[in-house]
Amino acid sequence: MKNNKYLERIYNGVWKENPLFVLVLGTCPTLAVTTSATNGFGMGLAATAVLILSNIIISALRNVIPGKVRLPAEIVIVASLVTVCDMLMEAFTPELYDSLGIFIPLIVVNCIILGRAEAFALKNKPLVSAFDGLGMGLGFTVALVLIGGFREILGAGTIFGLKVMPAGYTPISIFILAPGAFLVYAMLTALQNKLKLPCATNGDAKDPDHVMCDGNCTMCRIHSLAPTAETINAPKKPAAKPAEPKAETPATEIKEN
Amino acid sequence: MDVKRIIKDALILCAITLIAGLALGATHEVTAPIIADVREAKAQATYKEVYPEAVSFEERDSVPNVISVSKLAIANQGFGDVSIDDCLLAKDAEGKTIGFLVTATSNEGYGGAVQISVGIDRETRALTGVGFLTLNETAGLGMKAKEPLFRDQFPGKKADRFSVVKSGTAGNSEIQAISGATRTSKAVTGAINAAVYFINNCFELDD
Amino acid sequence: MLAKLLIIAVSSCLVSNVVLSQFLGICSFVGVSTDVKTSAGMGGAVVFVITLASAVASLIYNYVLTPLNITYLKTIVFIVVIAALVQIVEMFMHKCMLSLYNALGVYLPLITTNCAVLGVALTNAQNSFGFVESVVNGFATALGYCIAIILLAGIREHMEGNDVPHSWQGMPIVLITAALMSISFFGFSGIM
Repeated sequence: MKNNKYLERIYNGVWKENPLFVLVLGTCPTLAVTTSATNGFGMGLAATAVLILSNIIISALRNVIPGKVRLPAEIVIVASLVTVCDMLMEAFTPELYDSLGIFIPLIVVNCIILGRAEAFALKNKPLVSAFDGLGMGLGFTVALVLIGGFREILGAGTIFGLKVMPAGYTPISIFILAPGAFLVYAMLTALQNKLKLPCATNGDAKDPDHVMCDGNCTMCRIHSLAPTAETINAPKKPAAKPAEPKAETPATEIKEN
Repeated sequence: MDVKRIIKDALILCAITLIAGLALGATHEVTAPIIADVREAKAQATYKEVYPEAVSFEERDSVPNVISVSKLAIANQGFGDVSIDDCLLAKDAEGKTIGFLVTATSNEGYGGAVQISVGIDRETRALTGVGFLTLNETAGLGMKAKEPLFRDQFPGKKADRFSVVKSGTAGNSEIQAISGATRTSKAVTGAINAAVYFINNCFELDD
Repeated sequence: MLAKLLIIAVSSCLVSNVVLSQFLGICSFVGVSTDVKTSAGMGGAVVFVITLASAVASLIYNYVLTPLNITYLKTIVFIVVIAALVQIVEMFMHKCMLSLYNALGVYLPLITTNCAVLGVALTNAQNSFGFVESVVNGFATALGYCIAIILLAGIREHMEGNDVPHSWQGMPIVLITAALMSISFFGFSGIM
């Protein structure tokens, strides 16, 4: 029974609430790094590592961090983890580091990380949070590899760098260029629409209550604080301010740095 | 306003940031030497590709000065918007200088700067090879510059000034363009010309 | 010097447009672009914040982090500084420039998590841009964002009356529009 709770988190992350296909979090790195399956895989693993660790640390500190400085504290923790990840990747996987470039430090602003911290780690024990991070990370990785593989096959005729298309195939380069990213993503969401699969950005999505973000990172902070149907269905009114103003904190933050 | 509470919150945030900073410092201590090694190995590998006969590459203190003096002369040769970034001496096993390794940039690629590394033999002044350090061209077109079809034509070529040909067979002083990416080919040629000019006219070897 | 600044400006505004070719700030690009007025407000706020953030980040990077040899702390320092900066700007605007606050202020809290802001600061550091170059690059990048989001909003307003196939309604057609815009922005590569 106890095991089931952890396995359930993984199933949830990979399938039921897949961060990319269902929750539509982290679109920026998705579009940018999926030029090949290898890049998608590397990005996915880096994000998974950060996600697991940030979930564990934030969950362990959930009773220590005061409510008012919760967001800055989380950002500091996530940013340090990302920097550690960045340095390790540069040292041990230099080729991958070069091809992912600026998108490794940008994991900091990936909505998946802060979204899971807010939605799960702050309310649950470290171990189950770790599994939540693992599940979400794996779901993200699988999605990135699928999209990256699709673009790589069409755009370069290879997968994981291995030639798979027949010699006569002329690669459709546009798929590994910028517009290809938008095209593939558009087809994917259209398919989800057609099959009426749950997806945060599609109008037909049932049960919007567990959806964190409607493809709009700017809203995810607000959603994660109060994920109700009203905020999700009203993306045109960005007037909502974060529920907890952290007015006192900036002065300290600057002194710190 | 509860001053005590604010101070407590601030202190906790301070503590978290401090611990984070220390952890980062520790990781940096561990990874920095490895990263330096990796970068050095990568640079050496590129140099080796460009100049396979050389055993080691040496910097020369006078180079930055020569580069800044020759800047205007190179700009006036009509090679386009090109610059020389660096020049290393290629040494053989006995430490004798057998050639030069010039790093040159052309800002006229389709996607911005094209930075290449050119190997030039000391005696014959023929090219030993060309390697790409920065290339942001269009995938499937300009990016093909990195492929053997384009790259393998350089070793052994010799001229004071190379020109680009689009069709037919390229002669000794000609560079076969990448099909569909004339602009990239021209940028690469401009940078090579600048490198050759720099070695022939600006750089004096004093040993 | 001036020529170099111009090249930086054109390159980051049009050629490698922040949204359409760098994929930074996609989320708000798709999420907020429902009408031109909102987009213009968001664009204005982004221009303001990115320019200010690149100036501050560049000062910190060049005069604090580099001399102390702790550039590896840049990610954490930049994100904290940006978050604090947005808060301060918001409070300052609210107190002293109420009309500007009414036009742009509501978008400010949303920008902290916009990856374009951090992205520009990191790109500036990566290219070792000086203060002036950083500010120009920041402003041009943000202007590129502004252009892209307003164009998209204009197209979306026109599309409202169109008969889009059911499966393609909503997000998919917006992404297709973005793809076509991205193709047309490719044309700018040739002007460099």
